[in-house]
Amino acid sequence: MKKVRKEVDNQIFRELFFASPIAGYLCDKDGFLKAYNPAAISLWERQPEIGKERWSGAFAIFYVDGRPMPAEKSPMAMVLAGKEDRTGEELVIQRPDGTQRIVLVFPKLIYAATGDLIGVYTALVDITEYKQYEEKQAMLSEIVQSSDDAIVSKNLEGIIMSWNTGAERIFGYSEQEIIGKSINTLIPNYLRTEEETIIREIKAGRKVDHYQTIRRTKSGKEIPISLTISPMRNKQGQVIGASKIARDISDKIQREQTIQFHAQKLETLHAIGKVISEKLDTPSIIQTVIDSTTHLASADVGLCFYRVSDELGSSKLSVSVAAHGNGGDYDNLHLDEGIIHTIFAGENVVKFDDVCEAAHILSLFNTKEGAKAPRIRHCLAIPIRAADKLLIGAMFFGYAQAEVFKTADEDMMRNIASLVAVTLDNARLFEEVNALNLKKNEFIALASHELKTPLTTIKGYLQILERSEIDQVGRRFLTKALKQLERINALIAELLDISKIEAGKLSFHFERFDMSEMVLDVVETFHFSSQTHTIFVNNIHGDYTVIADRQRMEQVIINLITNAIKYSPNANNVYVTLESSLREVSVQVKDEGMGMSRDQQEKVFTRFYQVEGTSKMTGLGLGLYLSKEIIERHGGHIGVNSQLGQGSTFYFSIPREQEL
Amino acid sequence: MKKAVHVLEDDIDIGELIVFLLTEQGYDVVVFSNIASFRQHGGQLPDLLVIDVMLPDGNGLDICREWKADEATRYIPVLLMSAYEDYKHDAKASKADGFISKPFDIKTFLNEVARQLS
Repeated sequence: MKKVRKEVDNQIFRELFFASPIAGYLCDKDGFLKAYNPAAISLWERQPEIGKERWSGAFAIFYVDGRPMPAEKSPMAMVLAGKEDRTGEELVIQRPDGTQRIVLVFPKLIYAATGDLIGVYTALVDITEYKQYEEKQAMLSEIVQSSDDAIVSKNLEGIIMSWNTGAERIFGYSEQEIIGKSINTLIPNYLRTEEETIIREIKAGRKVDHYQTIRRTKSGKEIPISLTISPMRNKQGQVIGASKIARDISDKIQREQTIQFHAQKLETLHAIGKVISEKLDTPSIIQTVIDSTTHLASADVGLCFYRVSDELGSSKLSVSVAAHGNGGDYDNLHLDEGIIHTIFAGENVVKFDDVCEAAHILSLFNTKEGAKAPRIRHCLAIPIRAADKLLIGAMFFGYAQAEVFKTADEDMMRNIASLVAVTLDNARLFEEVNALNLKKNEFIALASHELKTPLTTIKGYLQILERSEIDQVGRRFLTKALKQLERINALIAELLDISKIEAGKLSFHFERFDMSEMVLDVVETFHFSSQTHTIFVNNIHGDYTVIADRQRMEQVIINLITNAIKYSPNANNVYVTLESSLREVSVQVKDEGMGMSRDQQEKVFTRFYQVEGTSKMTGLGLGLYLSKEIIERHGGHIGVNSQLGQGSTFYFSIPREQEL
Repeated sequence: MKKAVHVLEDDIDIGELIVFLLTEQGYDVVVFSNIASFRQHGGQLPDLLVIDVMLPDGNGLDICREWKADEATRYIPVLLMSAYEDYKHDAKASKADGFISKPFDIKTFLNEVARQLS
């Protein structure tokens, strides 16, 4: 009976042993392998020889930390030796192909009914897959936890489900505090609708990428963040929530703002430089500079004192004010030169943390009664020094608030001050040049008058002599002398005209007259004076009425005919042609002389220009320059058509009426 | 009866030339070299006044305006002279009867004087 039961037991055990999905093997009491099941074969990927190998059927075994494990030290050997119970220990077995599996070992001693030890049964549970999954999870969780970004998940109701340390750092809430709360905890009231939009996108299975918005931290501070939100799905692919990655972009935004601020500064500096190089009128340059500098310095008011010299050579400090709203609020803008020297005393920047302690500075920022300007408490003062270090002015920036005052960029202000110094130097030079030029023009005017006075007497007496009874030779000489006198007179007149053009004082007196009549009058005088040339006038009939300066027009026509005669020494004819249209009257003067190259034609209307190779042709080279000025000031046009050796045609046209 | 011409001209040589030219034509000529001496002259009013614009103690245009504003002298023709042609227009504005630019042509000068006196 007992034997039968034993056989049945053995039978059951055998079947269980071989059918078990868990790898198992038996060793005798000396550790020799007695049997193993198919699961063991597939775990080991080998079939060790029965009775040869001891304690383990694996190709090799290792501790979990990777050290090789001698078989006699294995938990199976230890259990057999009765030393310790190492059931459930983890170890690594290696297969013949080198791959490894992590297993849990369960060695169990087996006794006979008699109580004698038969051997050990060992079950091997392969936990490789589980271990790998666990590792992956640990790794992912570590990534999530160690991320600088906030990684948060929420369900479709907007309830926060997970919260990493990044989120804790950025938003200030701990995991315990926030899990289970609504995501709205983080959203400022005025952005609540944003969440609805986000949820709508997520429900539709769409991702929201790099969305810049504002979130509120635990302390109530609002911070700019960049959000990436992805839908989370269950195994069935249904959207069950969303994972959000939020990055604090305060730094980025601050950097962007800093860059923008510097760019703006550069732009302002550039604009200041441009104003300085383009304008020469000191007050308006200084005004532009102080306006933009005050803005740059974020000051409430900016004052620029600068030295100006009056006509008598004595200097004083002039001032420009820049203020938000109304610069006229400041009514005590006086500063003695002595005081700026005291203020700066060799310093490059002086900061007045409290203007109340500096009476002369305080008084500068005095405002009229009822003025809306803020009360100035702090002042940044920057000297303006000329190239020779001489103090020629100063800028004062007034601040009502300490924080703005403390961050003011002194270096920049100093640079601007040196630009202002250059401006003032330039302006001074320009004024000196202007004054000299004015003196020159005055001198020419005076000189021409003084030269004409003796000419008047000479001309008078020569003409008296001319009428008297004198011989042929004497008469010829007198005629020559009078002709030269006229030349001197014309030269003086030209010089005077040029100085008037330069001074912008060439004035015109318009009247209505007939251009054709005037041309005929001029031509007639040439018939008397010119022995060499005949002047033909074409197209004399027509309406040539114009409103112009008669004397100046006469001057232009005389100049053109004189030139035509002068530059055609080998010809005898000059042709004057008149033309008119509804709006314009034009005159052409054509000669048969030497003509001009293209290059010469381009220069012929410039000042002091004389055609090369014509050294015998005298004059100042001012005639055509003056003519051009006169015609253009009439709103007309003057020009020339010419070819070398083919003669030249000078022409001008003026509008019939002057727009006054 | 000889026509009387008063001349206000500071340049002695030009003054002398004008005296010569006008005396030759049979006019009575008195030359003043500045406004002060011209004002001091208490004698009869002239038939014609010839004035240089730029004078050492004033402006000839002012004298012209003065005479033209005064009932007693307004009928007396005034000729203005200058080496600055631009004064031609100021002369007109000052109601001068004529303008002579220096240096002048003696024929032109004498014609202008005769025209004013006729």
